[in-house]
Amino acid sequence: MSSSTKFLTLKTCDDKKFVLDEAIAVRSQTIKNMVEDDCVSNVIPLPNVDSKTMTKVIEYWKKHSEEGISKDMLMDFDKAFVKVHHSILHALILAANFLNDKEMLDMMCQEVVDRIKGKTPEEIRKEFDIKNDFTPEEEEEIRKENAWAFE
Amino acid sequence: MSSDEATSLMDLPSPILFEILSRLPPTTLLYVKSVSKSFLNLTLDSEFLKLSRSTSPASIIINQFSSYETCSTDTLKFLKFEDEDTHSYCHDPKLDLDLQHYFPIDPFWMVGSVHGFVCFNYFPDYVETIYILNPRTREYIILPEAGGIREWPNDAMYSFGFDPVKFKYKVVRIYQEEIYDDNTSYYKSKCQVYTIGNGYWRNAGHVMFSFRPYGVNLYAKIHWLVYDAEGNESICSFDLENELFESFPTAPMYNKERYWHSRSLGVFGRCLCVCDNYADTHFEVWVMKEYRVTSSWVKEIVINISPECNDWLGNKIIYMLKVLEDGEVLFLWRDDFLFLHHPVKKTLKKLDVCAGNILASSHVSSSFSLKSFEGEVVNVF
Repeated sequence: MSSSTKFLTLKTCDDKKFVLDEAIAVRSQTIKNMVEDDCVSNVIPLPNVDSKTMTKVIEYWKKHSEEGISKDMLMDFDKAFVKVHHSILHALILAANFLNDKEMLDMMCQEVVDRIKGKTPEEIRKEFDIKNDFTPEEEEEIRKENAWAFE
Repeated sequence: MSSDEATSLMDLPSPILFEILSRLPPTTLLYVKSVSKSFLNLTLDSEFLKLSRSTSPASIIINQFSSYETCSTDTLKFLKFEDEDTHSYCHDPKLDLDLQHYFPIDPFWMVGSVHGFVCFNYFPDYVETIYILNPRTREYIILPEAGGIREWPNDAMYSFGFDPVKFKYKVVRIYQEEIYDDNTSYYKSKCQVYTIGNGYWRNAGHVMFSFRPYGVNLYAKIHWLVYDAEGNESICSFDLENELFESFPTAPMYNKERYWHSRSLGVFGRCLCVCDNYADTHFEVWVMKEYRVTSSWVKEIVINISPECNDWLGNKIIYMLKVLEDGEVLFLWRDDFLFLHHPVKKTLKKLDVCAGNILASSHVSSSFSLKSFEGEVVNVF
């Protein structure tokens, strides 16, 4: 790393601090704007992100900023990266949304899409721990409605 | 690795949820509705509701396949009928698609439109090619050839529909032969089905009828007017789920001595209807009020033809396109022009949208992606 490397300190909602190369941190449009507006003293507060989630985000940013990493390696990394429990997936989506990292947000949303795609209502519920709050009658009604939904 | 906050899918901001929904294939989207009440509300909120509600503004897609001006052919135009007060339509020329420009083949015949997917048929020199395209996402797929023989003068006819039980889009090909046997002749129509995403055509039996274009979608079945060897008319349906044919009696007043070219099948609201043009006197529309109940046919519309005011109705076939919200009815006169008729106010109005020969169909604009059909090669134009 060159001597001109600048470091930023990010502080998550649970008061954990992360020191990060600015060049990596500006993958977040939110942080980039803050840096450009010069409203950064020494610590950037991230009130919407917890440290556990931030650790994952930084892991992603670092990997995607690695020099000389091949496309295939990145693809393998991404594939493994999204294979997490849905609660972590959602936390990552919220973080990517707040940090305004379009590339990451896009990838996480696609993972949700892929987890829903081709599944029956029951399978979707199981995948995302969602409680079925329909009565059997209501469910039947919707099923019937679906039959004509697009005519 | 459990999280105390336990963020759930539904806690995501709605723009993100809508983004996720918009990437789902229509089929899965229907499933998502029945996952839970919050999911149902979400999908109800989303723009997808507009697609599924019959009260959405009537939208018509027009395929102009030839033109009086030599320079332009094969255009797609989109009409909306939403202004109840002025009883007029909107046509935004900016949305017109010059098919000739993207697909240098001619002519391109529209088969039908389902959920924003429009099916086209192109058959020069007896090679039939089927295109499915979404004019909004500008994606298209080309189906493999159906195979089988096609000999002059036998006819091949296509229809496009949706099976709402298994959530499949299907293209149905009817190949009809007239078979001569000693002094008599009869018809044999073979059916092949292509399920979008499957990659191959399947045989789905045959029926001994001659089919008239065009197939009409209602209650997850495609319907046609058909004729037997003696020239008797009936209605034949093809169930898009179980792929079985059935036939049942047609509208009254069918007279086989008369010119059958004057009759066409359509959908009037949620009912089958038969349009019949008695060139010299009047044009009438019969509606089957209860599906498959023969005694429920009623004569719903009569337009008297008089030389002074509407002799242009003439002795040509007229197709029912759509019943608009206020009861006004949109028809297509042969392949020449659209006209509106109000059964109560008795108004009759020709619409000048195209200068050329056209096919028209009900249509909804959707951003459903053809990419959701695994096994199809999606191109973009």
